[in-house]
Amino acid sequence: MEQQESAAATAVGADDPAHRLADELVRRYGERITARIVQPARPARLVAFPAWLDPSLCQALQSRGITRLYSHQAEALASARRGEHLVVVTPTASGKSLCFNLPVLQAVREAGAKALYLFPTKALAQDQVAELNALNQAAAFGVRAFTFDGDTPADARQAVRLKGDIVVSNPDMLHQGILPHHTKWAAFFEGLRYVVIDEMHTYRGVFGSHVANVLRRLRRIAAFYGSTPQFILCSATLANPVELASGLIGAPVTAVDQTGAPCGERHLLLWNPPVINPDLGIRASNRSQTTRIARLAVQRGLKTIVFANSRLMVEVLTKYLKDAFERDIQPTAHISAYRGGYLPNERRRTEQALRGDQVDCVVSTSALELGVDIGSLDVCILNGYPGSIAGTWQRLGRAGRRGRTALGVLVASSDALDQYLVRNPEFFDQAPVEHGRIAPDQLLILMEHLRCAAFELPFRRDELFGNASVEEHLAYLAEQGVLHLEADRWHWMSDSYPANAVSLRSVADGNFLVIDQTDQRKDVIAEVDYSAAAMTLYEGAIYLVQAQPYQVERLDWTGRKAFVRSTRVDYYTDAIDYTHLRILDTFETRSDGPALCARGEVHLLRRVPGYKKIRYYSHENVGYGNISLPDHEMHTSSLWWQVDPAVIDQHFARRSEALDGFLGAAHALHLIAALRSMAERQDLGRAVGDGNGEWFATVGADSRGNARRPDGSRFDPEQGGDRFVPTVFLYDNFPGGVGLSEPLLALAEEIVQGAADLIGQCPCPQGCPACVGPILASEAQRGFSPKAAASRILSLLGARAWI
Amino acid sequence: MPASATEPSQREQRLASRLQATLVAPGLLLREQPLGLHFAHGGVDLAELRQLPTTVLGLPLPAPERGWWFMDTETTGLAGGTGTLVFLYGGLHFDGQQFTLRQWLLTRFGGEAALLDGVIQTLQHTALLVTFNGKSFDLPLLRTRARLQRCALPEQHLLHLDLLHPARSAYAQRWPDVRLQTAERRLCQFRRQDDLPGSEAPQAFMRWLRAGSDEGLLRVMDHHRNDVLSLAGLTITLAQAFQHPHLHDADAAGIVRRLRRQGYRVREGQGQLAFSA
Repeated sequence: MEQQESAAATAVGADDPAHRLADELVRRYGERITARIVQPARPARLVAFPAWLDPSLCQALQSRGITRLYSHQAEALASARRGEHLVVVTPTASGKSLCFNLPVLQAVREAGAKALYLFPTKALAQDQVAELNALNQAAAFGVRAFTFDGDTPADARQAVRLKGDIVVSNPDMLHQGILPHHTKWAAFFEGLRYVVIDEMHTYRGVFGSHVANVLRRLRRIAAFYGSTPQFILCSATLANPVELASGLIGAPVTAVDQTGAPCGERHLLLWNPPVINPDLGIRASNRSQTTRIARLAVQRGLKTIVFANSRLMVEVLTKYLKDAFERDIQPTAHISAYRGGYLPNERRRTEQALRGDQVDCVVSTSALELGVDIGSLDVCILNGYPGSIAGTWQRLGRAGRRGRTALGVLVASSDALDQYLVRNPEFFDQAPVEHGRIAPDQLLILMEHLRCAAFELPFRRDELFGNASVEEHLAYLAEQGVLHLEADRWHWMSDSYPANAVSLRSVADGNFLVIDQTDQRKDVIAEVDYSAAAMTLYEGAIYLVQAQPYQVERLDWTGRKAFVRSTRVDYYTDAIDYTHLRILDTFETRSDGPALCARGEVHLLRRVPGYKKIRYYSHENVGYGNISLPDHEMHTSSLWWQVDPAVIDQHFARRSEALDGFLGAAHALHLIAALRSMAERQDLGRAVGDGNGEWFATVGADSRGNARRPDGSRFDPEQGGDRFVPTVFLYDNFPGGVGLSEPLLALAEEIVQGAADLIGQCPCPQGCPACVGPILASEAQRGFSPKAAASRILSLLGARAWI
Repeated sequence: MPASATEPSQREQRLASRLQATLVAPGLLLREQPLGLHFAHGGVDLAELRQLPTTVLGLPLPAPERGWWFMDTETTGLAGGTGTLVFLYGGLHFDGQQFTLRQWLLTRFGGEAALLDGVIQTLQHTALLVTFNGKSFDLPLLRTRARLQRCALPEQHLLHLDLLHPARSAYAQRWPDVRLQTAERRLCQFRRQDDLPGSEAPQAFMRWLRAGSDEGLLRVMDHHRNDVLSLAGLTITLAQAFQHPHLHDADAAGIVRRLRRQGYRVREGQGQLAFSA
């Protein structure tokens, strides 16, 4: 909350301890640092309170040491007063919450208005209420703010509904708990003037498409009570914040995107661990590098935060750091871990210790990325790329709160995307490239929310939902016996509560727990994403945790648990994934030389029929196992690339080598497309197969491409004649599609070039997991380079050549 | 197909005559039956309501002349929320001299505003409201429907006796469950014949809307009639069980706990509970 009055407090120059540490790291580890990006300090731009600002509000601000506003806060206030919807896009720690709290508190004071705040997590909601209460107490203007979520006790709910001026909740609660019971909230909706949506960039893809529909329902209910609320959205930096915001709320928005908050100098180092096995392209683990940098920072007296991408890694890094300091002779540093799954009061204690400078270093998941107040920090180390550039900047924004020099270090993992990013620092230095996309009219999602909306209020026959006619959809629901048309109204007539059947984040919720039951233990040793579970946690699989092999003994698919036991084996297992796509309809085509790029509708069949046991080092196939998981089938939309078979034959001695090239190219195209479209990786799938649907390609135990028919039998590409049309598919991994392919087609050239750069810049000789995917050490001896094959395919697709 | 919004269709007229009910508004039927004073429900003469003490089940009762209303609803579901419709509202009215049964039945969604007028009218003429689980189900649902029709229920003056809670304190330890039908069988010796299970009421209404089939609705009306008669019978028998727990196989300790929670001083002697404020 405290705002810097001027940039004079900013310590600048090489004397600053974080600046000195950056210099030291560059001096000692120069070859590991692929880029040093320096953002200059920025002075504050301050403006006076507007004359119409409520005096008690001015007083509250003054009592907290705020005598003027940052320019972006004043802009947001003015825009809101003009009645506009707005999206505020400013960096972390720029006093963002005043951008919505001021207009809201003004409206509460002036007109007894009500406001609804939506945060993606409960922890953020609690923090916001604490902040509002602090402001409120500063001037005792009697504004009541409450959280309303799954933790709100039943006997307190009535009071929140009747007495809350500001209700702070989350989209899931709005969807299942508030809208279907809107009559209980009648007084609140009648007065509803503002809806605040923070962390807007998290509402993208499938989740964002759901949230857009929940907001359509919200606007509809508000209209029933005679109110048309204004929306104030806040977002991390994106390429298209205005487009995403207006897509979410279904109305034009004004952008407030020039920050007036001061900022100290900021150094960002991109750090790549050294290569330890050049043939396989294996690098030292980023854990050890992260530990080393954090230890140096703490030794230099700099308060440090380390971000890890999983709860497990938080624990591992915390242990490494504690061990490291125990070995040191100097007084022990205080290292603390912070993540979801800890009890709330434990987390509050850590937050307090951080604010009170009793902790030297905190290791956290994304739980601390957002607005939780933990005071000022000097150094921020990211153990691996968090998955989006926007998320990277949010985490880095945790350092340097009080205008001192801040140091951020991104320590790349061996993951291909990490490797690509540390080699392309312009992603961090130039205009944002990430687009938040939603598809609110996606048929399945839309139908689910139409059911919910019809339950909430009958539809008029000509009523629009969003801005579109839904009459046909409603007629379909009537045929299903869910709705009943009478006198130009569709009435709900089913004995059910539809919101309970719709989860806004069904995919993200389905993580599998890996439970070690060695020696009667019941320890959770890992979490596996739903989309990866079928490929890694089947019964019989060897699951590796820090190189220690565990065998999966039982998979509880519905309970989302895999029970494993520690084992000693000389092999690993590799699931056989048969993903077979057939093009049903082509919507749009672009042709460039021998290549064709198109988008359309596809049918997908995925089967995981079994797995192979592969011996370490020799890579012999030492056995098979069957997997009995249900087939997965869907219609979805896809983007694809194809090359004229005659041209392929000119460029490749054997078609099997072309197939390897396509598989390697697909690996790189997938990464770049996910990066550009900001798709969650599980939202975008990839496959290589035949344009005619006769075969699909898999990577075999020999790490070479195999072509198979849908029944699993081998297909020999050399015999295919003109009908050999290898195709790279990037498809929406959601039934019916979520609208990724249309924007991807528009970006196709950049994606192909980005993939070519990813492979071309990779220092490995023949290909490695960081560019074309895993390959064999023996490839070079055979005189075949999967890397060169992939590069050749990409140049046929239109990329400028690297070789 | 639906007829015009105001003209009753043939099937609505047929339903009205089969029920001996009147079409009081487009989409709404009212069945009204005077039942006299000495009406026998199972083994209970409902006229005994006149002999109740002034405080019953821990509630000081208003005089019956001011209107007692034994009320129940039938709905399109148990899920709650704004998508659940009350398609049958009604009850047994007692004014100290005689009983009158009144049941309002929707024949279309369009009749709901008129049905809620009926709700408001009856509540205005009611001093004591008697229900079974009405505090958590029927009344909140009626409030929701009223909000959706942009009106409000007159509730300030109502004394609400929800029989579920006293029945639970007296019999939760004695019976396998404390549902209305269990209570009426055990306390009123009332046995239903060919009764439609309550859970099938939503389907009956939906079959009427979709296909115009009225068999189910006729049975829902009878089921509802039995429900509200049992409310009156149970008010009498539960009041007796609270006074003489041992004569009615009631759990005296549970009753004493409940009355003490309500702030009464309770004395026990000679198989009888005596309590004072």
